[in-house]
Amino acid sequence: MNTFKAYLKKEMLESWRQYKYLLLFIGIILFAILDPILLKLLPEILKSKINGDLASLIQIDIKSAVQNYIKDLNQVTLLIVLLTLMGSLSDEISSQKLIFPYSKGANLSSIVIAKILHYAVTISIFIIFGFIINYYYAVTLFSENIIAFKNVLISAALISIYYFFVIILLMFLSSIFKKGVLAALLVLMLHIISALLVNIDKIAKFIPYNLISLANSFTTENILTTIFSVLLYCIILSLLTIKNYKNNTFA
Amino acid sequence: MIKVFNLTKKYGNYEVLKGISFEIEKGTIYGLLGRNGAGKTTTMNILTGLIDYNRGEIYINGKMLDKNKRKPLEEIGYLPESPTFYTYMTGSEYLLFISKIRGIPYKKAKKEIDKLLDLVKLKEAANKKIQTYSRGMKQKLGLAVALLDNPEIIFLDEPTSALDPESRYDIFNQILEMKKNGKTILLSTHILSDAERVCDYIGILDKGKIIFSGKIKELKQKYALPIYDIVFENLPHNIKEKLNNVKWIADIKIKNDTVSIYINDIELAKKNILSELSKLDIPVISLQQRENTLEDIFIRLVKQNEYI
Repeated sequence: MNTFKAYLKKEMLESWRQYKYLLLFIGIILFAILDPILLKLLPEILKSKINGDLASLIQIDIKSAVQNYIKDLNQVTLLIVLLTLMGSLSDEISSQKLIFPYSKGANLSSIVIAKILHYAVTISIFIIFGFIINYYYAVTLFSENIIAFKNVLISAALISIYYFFVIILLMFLSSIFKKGVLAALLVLMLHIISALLVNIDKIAKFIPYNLISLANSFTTENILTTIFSVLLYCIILSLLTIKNYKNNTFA
Repeated sequence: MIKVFNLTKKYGNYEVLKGISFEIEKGTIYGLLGRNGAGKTTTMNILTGLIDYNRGEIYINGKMLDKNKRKPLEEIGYLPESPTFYTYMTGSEYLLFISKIRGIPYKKAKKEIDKLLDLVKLKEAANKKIQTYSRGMKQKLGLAVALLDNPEIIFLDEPTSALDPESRYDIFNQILEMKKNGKTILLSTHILSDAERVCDYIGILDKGKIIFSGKIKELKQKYALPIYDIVFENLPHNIKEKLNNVKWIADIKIKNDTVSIYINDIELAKKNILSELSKLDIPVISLQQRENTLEDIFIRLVKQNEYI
């Protein structure tokens, strides 16, 4: 428990001093604010550039404004998160930063758990706030096709679980390859592949990317299978990460 | 205090340590000497529990170091060759972070950290970020980390390599201070003058084997040979071949203008050195007899042990 507490505090200090919180804030919250505003302004901007009635072609409502934010979370934000966190575990392994803590009794499992939980909680908080802010602006700026706030929160939870999976996958791949860039690229590739696989109905509910599809449709039907599957993958990947971390750190 | 028996470590098919054994007594400084790649850091990493070993037994303070149990390691402080830190932290923040891992209460940790920073002369830089520290300052901070929570045993891996003379002087004084305080120290180095300066015992590690383990005095008594350093007016050609058959000469080394003749029978040498030199028919500028340095003995032991 001493190691867990020490590393949790260390991760917070590191994220603050190395501007990781700021990057995550920009990647998650800024889009929540900018998306509805840009969508509102888009027809006006286009009107000044192109002749014709564009407002009739671009129909934006509350639902599509929130969906647009989900699309950004699943594309640009994912890139920002991966670039921000990719060195978190691999740097510790490759630059031998763990020698002092380990020689003073640090528990490697606690280090991995502290890292995963810190980033999972941080990103979840940002995502939930992002959705709240986005929903507020969407409701303020648009009027049609209203969605219940409860459904928006469920979508935020589903996206948070997906990011939880992404963080663990990134840590797992970092523990194998010891190179953050490679791990981030592989996560990105797997993200794209699972976006394709989710179109196969028979396996869709077992694919983590299905969480994004469910969040995007604001539905609560059949979400449990996907949630439990993803949580199971998270547990398995965490255990494998700890095992790899123990084997590879000082090898 | 520390006993190592038949320690073997392999990386794939390559055997880094080939069954080394040595003992370190409580309150002494044991120097592990060896060339780069001799296996010193591997030995250190095994003894600190960072890496596993293939065969052998290790006892620390009477407790066997089991591959899976790290209890005996709680009494150890380790300073690696190139200490790495979280450089966005300040020196005192890093020490506080390590003391949290050790489970030292905050107030006690604060007091100890102040003392340690004072000891390693880093008090003024305590609140500066580690990324601004020089190599010497990082080494000193590493020493403070190793000493945190007052361990009985300290392992120092090449603590003075790549340090400027002033930092080396400081580190050595701190090592001697630690010894005064009853610490048991294992120091690895390839700088032999460093070992001669502080070590009570030394072990010479070469090609994965300990080829000598004991007091420096014993090493000198056992292996020291007198040396004649001769400066000629012109460096003689083929001097090695010319003196090859002289029985009392063990070895000849030429460095710059000086020819060093290693003697294996001093009485015979005293009687015959002048007549042998006169046979070369080259004017001699100076002739001096000296004792082996640890470096001479080390080089002979690892490279020319046929003379031992």
